[in-house]
Amino acid sequence: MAPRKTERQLNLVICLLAARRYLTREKIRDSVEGYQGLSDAAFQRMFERDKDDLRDLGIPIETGSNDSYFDDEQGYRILPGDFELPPVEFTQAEQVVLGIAAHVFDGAALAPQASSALGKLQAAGVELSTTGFVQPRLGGDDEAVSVVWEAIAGRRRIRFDYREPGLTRRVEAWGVLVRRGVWYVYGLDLDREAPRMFRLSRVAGTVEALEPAEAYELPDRSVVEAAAASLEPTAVTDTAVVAIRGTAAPGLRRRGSLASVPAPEGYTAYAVPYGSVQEIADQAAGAAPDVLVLGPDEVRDATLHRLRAVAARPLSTELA
Amino acid sequence: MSTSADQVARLLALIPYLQARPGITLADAAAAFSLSQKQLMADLWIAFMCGLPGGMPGDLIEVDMDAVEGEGVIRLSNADILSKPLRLAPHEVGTLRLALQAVREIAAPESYAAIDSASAKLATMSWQDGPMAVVSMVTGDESVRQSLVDALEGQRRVRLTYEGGARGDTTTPVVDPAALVVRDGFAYLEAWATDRRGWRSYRLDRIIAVDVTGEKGEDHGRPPLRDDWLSDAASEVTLRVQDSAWWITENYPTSATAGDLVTLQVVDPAWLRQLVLRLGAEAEVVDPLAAQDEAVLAAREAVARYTTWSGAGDVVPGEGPV
Repeated sequence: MAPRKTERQLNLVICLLAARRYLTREKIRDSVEGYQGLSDAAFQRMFERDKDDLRDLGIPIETGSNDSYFDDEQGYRILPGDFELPPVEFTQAEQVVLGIAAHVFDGAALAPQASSALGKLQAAGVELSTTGFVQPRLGGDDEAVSVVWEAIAGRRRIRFDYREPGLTRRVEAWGVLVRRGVWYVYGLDLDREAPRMFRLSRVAGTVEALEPAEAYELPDRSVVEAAAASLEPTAVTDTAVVAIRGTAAPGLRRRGSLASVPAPEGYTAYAVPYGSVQEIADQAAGAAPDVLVLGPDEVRDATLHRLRAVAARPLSTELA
Repeated sequence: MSTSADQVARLLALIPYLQARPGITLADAAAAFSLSQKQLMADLWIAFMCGLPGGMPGDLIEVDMDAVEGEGVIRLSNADILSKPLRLAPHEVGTLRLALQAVREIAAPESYAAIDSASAKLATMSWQDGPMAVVSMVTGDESVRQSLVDALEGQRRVRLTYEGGARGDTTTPVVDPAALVVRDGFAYLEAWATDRRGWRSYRLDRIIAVDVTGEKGEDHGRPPLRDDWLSDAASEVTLRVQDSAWWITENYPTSATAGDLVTLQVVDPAWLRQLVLRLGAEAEVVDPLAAQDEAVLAAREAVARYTTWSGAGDVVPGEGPV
């Protein structure tokens, strides 16, 4: 933290908010604590940087002149109406859900964004209450999450190494997908000239947001939703017949229905719908030998393939 | 980490917030902004130094620093120019709406309307649309969530019908619910199991039914953090994995990776057994070898059964691996 810089920028905001007219640079230099005693060049640099920093925070610093006939007198001001949060009104029920939302990013990369937004709402009179019964979390501890998030907000392109250092990708990010705690960014891959999805945990190193802002347009939300849908298991397309022993594998039994085909002794046959062979074979192998696949061949073979690999290994007692 | 820009943004909310709540305690204000009291003190010292141009006493923001340091209460005044907070930035609106999407995934259906209307109001509060995001979690059945939220709010003891853990049997534990939480995209009920006299987590998508017992639940304090449970009971198992199975490092608690070796934190041997069986040739336990024995025995029994059963003639086995 740099207290002097914070003080100077806060004083600049107050000064421009209080101004009834556009203030020239010279006037600002004289009025704002922190600009005095600098060389002309140092003042100009510092003022430019402060202005950029404040605009990045969303502070609307207007440029203009008080006298339209002599426009050489460029000045600055902030109109309170553009600066201030308009009146907000949330119902009791809405304040309760916002109170729960307030903790979603505790300890995560987006925590500062969330607390700054909630601070503003509370300053505008919103009271956040929490019962603590419901505690959703989204994860996203990686700093990359917050860089990507703000880059999308500012429509800045991003650049990062993916999977390993040196494999650089440049992307116009459109949106973020969070599926089962895993964060993805989806957008236009500028080198491959096609939409691609990237898993943020596979970024090697840091994500860099590139200037300028507003470099591209966002597509319709449906485009991002379609990408999210592609991550979900494929729709059910087929039915397998599995034999389940006793009361094992309740999930599979509930998903399926009794099948009138013969099953080994102690087992009952069920018809179970599935989306992909890999998915049902994973489940059947994982529950073996309480679950045996009777058909189709494709599913049984994939399951047996997994089991044979494990069955061929020695037991720890067989090694000595 | 706090940057100067974060601090400016925060002060522009903090100053109107404190001005509207004269006499608020340091602790309450720090909690409202998710700050330590030390950070908040640093912010107050900055506010104390700022104000209208001129720098005369009447121009500066007034903060009674004696009251802050002595009694722990904040009185901030003479900041009329900052009586309202700065408008929300698009990424801030996006962040809150994303958080509300997470809330909606785990909430009881009775809250959907409030979540949707709060999100719609937020969407109008910035000058540009925030980033788009889509969230999906495994949070089970809506009616189960509603019953659990009702039990939590009414402090009721309930009987769950639970399609258990890795062993895959159905149990009916009687529990006092404490919280609904999310870990790695899966929702869990944290509850005090009355028969076990201990804290248990139940995955929401495996809870088939929730029945009220008519008894009042007891207060058992707060459930411990999940991380503590793991370190108590977990043992380390190292697997050699192929690239295609590398996803396990992103989905399960991992204590180390080196080359193609992954060390997992394993609490339940039955969980490891099903993982080894489903990964097949893609992963093999290397240490301790005995950790794999259950899976090997299960696989041998299963392969034998496949062979015998196909002998019965109904299903012809395919030869060799796929």
